[in-house]
Amino acid sequence: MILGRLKGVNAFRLPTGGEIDRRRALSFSFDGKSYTGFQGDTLASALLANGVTLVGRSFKYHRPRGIFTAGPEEPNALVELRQGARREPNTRATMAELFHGLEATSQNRWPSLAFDAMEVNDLAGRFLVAGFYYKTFMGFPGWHFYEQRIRAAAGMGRGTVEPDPDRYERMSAHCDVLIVGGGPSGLAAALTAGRSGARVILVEETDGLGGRLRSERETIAGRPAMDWVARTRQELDSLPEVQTLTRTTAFGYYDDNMIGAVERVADHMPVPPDHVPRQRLWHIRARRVVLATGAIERHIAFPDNDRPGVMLASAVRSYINRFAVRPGRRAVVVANNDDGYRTALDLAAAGVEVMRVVDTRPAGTSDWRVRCEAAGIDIQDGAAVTKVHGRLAVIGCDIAPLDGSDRPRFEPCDLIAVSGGWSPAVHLHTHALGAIEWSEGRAAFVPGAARQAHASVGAARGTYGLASSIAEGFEAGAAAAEAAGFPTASRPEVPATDEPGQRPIRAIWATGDGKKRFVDLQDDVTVDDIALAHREGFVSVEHLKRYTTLGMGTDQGKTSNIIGHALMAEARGEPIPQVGTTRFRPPYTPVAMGAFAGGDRGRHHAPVRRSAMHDWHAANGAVFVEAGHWLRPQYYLAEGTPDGKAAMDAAITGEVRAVRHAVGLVDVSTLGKIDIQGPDAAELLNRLYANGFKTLAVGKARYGLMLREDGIVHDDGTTSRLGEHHYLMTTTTAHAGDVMAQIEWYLQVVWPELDARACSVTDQWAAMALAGPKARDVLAAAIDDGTDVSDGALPFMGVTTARIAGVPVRIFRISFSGELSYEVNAPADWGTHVWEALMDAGEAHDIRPYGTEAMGIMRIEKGHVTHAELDGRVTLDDTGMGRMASSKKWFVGRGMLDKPAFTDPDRPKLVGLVPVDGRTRIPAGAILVEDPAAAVPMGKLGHVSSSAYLSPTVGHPIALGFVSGGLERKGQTVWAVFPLRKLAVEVTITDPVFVDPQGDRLRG
Amino acid sequence: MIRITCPHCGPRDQDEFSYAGDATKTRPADPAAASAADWHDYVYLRDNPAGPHLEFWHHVYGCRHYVKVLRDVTSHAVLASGRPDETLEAGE
Amino acid sequence: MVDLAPLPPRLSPFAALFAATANDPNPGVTLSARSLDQVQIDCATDRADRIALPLPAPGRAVSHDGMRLISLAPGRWIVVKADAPDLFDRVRDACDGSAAAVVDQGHGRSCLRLSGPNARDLLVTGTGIDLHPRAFAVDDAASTALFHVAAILDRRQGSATFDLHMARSYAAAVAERLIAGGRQYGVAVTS
Repeated sequence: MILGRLKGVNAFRLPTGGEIDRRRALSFSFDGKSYTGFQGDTLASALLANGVTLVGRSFKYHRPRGIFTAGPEEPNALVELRQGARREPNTRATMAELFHGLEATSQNRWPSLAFDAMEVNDLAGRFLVAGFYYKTFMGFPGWHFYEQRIRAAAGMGRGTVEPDPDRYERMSAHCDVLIVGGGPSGLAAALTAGRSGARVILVEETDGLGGRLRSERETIAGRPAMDWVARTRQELDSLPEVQTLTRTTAFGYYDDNMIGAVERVADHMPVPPDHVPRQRLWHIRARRVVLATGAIERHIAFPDNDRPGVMLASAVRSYINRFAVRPGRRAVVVANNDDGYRTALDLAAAGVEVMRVVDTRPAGTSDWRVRCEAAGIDIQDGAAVTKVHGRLAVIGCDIAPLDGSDRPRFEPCDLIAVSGGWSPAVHLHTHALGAIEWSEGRAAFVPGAARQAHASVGAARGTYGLASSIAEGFEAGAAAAEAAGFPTASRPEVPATDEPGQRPIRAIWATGDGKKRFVDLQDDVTVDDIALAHREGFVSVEHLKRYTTLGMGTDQGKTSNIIGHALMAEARGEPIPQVGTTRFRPPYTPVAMGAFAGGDRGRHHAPVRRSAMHDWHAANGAVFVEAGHWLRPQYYLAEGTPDGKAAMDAAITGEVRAVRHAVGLVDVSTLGKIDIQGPDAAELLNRLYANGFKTLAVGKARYGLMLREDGIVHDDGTTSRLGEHHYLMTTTTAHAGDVMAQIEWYLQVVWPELDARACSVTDQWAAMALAGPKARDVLAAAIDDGTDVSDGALPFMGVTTARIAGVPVRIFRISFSGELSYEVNAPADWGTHVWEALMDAGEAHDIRPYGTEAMGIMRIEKGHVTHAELDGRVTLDDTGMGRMASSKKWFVGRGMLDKPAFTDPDRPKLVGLVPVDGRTRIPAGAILVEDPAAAVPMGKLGHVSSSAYLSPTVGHPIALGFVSGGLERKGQTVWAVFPLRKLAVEVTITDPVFVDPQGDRLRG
Repeated sequence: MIRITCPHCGPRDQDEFSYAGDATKTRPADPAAASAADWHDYVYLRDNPAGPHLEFWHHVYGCRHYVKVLRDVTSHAVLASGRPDETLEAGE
Repeated sequence: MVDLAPLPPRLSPFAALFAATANDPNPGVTLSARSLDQVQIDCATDRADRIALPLPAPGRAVSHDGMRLISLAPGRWIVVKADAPDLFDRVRDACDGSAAAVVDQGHGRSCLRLSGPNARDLLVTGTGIDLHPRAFAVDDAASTALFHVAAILDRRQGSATFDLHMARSYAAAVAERLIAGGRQYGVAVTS
């Protein structure tokens, strides 16, 4: 499809001017066709230079769409950029800097851009009006079937499903003054703030400084305004405490003066250079913020105002002046303010034939108009566009007087430049909960009182003049520096500018009539949709937004919100400020999820915690499992054995058998270890643990259980008395952090009078448990200082120190596996030496290292509880350890133990479970019920907390669980059901201790 | 993200802290003398004021001290902060 | 008395990682593993004056007699020194008997020295505190989060030299993040 235009290499490129570098041609493709642009182009400017004006299809009606703006507010020209893992949908062609080899694809069309089968939606438009979803599908059977198809038809671009190959980085920054926006007012603010010596950060969304000055033919001090920009940049770069970040969008203003910004480090390159992040997410903490975010032009809703070739007037000037592109050959300009004249003059200067300037205002005069008249440009006052001709591209428009005094007259053109006035970009101001006020003179909302430490300047405040913007910037930059404690010299003199006098805007929001007068181009919301919402009672702006989707696109209604709200005000017959406006929310423009994730992804999603013996495990066949942040050996594969179900079962079985019959060694460094010292250490322990600790002798360990204040079991572990006023507490791996925090809580807040200090020594000590009937032989062989570890010298629950391989160690005779067992603690940097010494000493007994699977099976065989049982719901009585609670003292949680819920005889209590058939695995997490065939919802008796799917010692699967009535049901059968996996296993309730109930082995 | 001024470390980002509960509650000083109702009140009952609220935050990534914070829960503004035994009043 | 084997050399948590890291010839940032002895002092604040050491104020660190003393919190300090097996006894003796809890953390926290022109650029990718020289001067110290891990930052003499003390189990993970982030500036490691 030829778009009615000459095709050729940069046929629409001006021979001179602009910021592009004509020596650096860049080739790129759009929808598979190759084109050439120049360094300095955006994808949008390069497409326009090549005469490509049709770039997309609209969201709902699939109407042909072109390039509407030249900035971040673009609602139409959304394309997929790049291919493969880097494919990114919904990128704005107006913000995508061109690079060599850029591949862009139009989206939301099928089979092709010029012929889109879904354009029938446009003809069916009367059925797809606002509220279509709600009305048609409310309570509709099979809604989900239709929803999928409707969403496919109304889709946006396609994201990639491949992992993101790029790096992202988070940066934290602090400054005295943050300036958002590198236009004239922002530059001026940076200058005065920077000269004060304050730490200043200036962020600018585009690739260079200057803001609108890059797109206008302004002068400062008699020279092109960009000379002033260059001089200012030079000075800013020379100030050591001023940091300028270009290609950086401040997207959100958060609590306590924190601004989120995304820096596009490498988006203007084909791929990021090695090791360089694609984007950086900045968290900027500023003492003062100057918002110089500029303003966004808006359009006027006339019939078919979405056709490719209808463009904002400011964008037309950007394409001409910044990119040296003629966005058309014959233009009509329509405006309700003097920017129409400015645009017409720029068009004429670029050799575009200006057919007419249509001024919606009644006749009047201004400097701008006089200049236009002098240039011989036709002007029609009090008129508007009533029709646009052309479908895939504009071929002309009808213009008629607003008062109906004459019939519409056709004007041929391929470009309609439209200006409906400007809306200050108050987004960040309102993120910070700043107030906004309606300015009748500007026909716009302008910033009101700030809630945080920020001030708006220049166009962001509704100040559109260049000299006055610079003056405001100078003042705001200096004021911000002073508020941050940096005195400033007198304000610089505002340079001379050449600014023709203007006539004020006269608001007009929609002209002509017809179904397709678009308010919100991205969401296909029309003037009629606003009227419909009003008729149906959705009259508040918040309801209007949700009913019509006004402003809900990726552009958040930057060009459209105010038009919709003003039309609603007209419909309600109320002034605009009374109708109000919706609040902008972060992000200002879309931010890639990867930028938020930063480096916290993949292996570093959370910090990885490794034991001191980690490298030994890795070198000796360990398969690791995550336990919180820790990586722990789950089991060890013999060298050369591929991992798999059978290999895993064989490894685990072998590890359990080694411990039960000879000896094994397991890394238990992950257990929490807390060093407690002081005259009141014993009293502290006595209050924390439910069982008594005052009688614990030096050189002895004791098992302890601690409760939460609400009486639920918190954690368990052994605590050893190392000296008169010195204890070492151990906690479970899972609760190491919160037990430490609890102890700090009691010592700092609740019992500050206790003379005791506690600190975590988890990382100081590498810990390993040597377990099995041969454990003592191995330990004795490894000890090199003659320390006696015989049963008499080191009985069960005894503690001693010794040396192994020259390393001073602590030895605790405690057992989790139920076997004769010693826990050896060595200073962590020597952990591997001690581990290897024990492995060497155990060689004669075929010692095996064992992992968490074997450890878990053996503790289930012994009926030992762990975090799977102590899950924040169980009491001491539930675990069968109620007898341990001391009646002679007060301890944390005791105050709640008598509450009725805790003494209910039907509470589930700890039991053992075995499959009736002697072989079926019992799934952990299964629910225990009387009859799996009963109608749902069926009564629940309890649940399975831990399961050993194989128990080499017992010979069949076993499990622990909680069942109502507990051991009173011993011998009964119930069913363990897991409906999600359609599993039901009949199980017999048994004692929770399957192996050595008398504990002869561990005392052996 | 709010900033909390730790009395020992100075102003720090919220993500260095973990929330540690309502600071208007006091644990019964003599636990043995406290009634079931006293314990019920201490463990379970919390007011939910719209406005300034006293809270504890644990500076887990910093000094590991508990910090008392007066925070307006409707605006997130931290009005004052101090040690656990301090009496806090709003004001900069 | 039996003959005791000599103390073996310490195994640094950075050993395997650093051995596998290629050094940039022109590094913007250098990571140096420091094997230190470390003792933690913990006491009621009103007893600190009984401790015969020049204990720094909160947020500060001080060098004294070959030792580095760093404040962690009110009443809590660490004392670090290289190759000082007698450090624990020395500190305990300075603590006037029962004035303070004295805990050996020599293996509990691992130390990495970060230096070079881009050291600060790299650190701010992992921590939210202000490391500008105006806010964090030489001999300033802070306990903070670094890549979600609790870390003690100690600014040493020199234009941009920071000692990081981190729990040993997390130290390699932090070093991995620093190396990955440091490559854009050029990174070198020394054991």
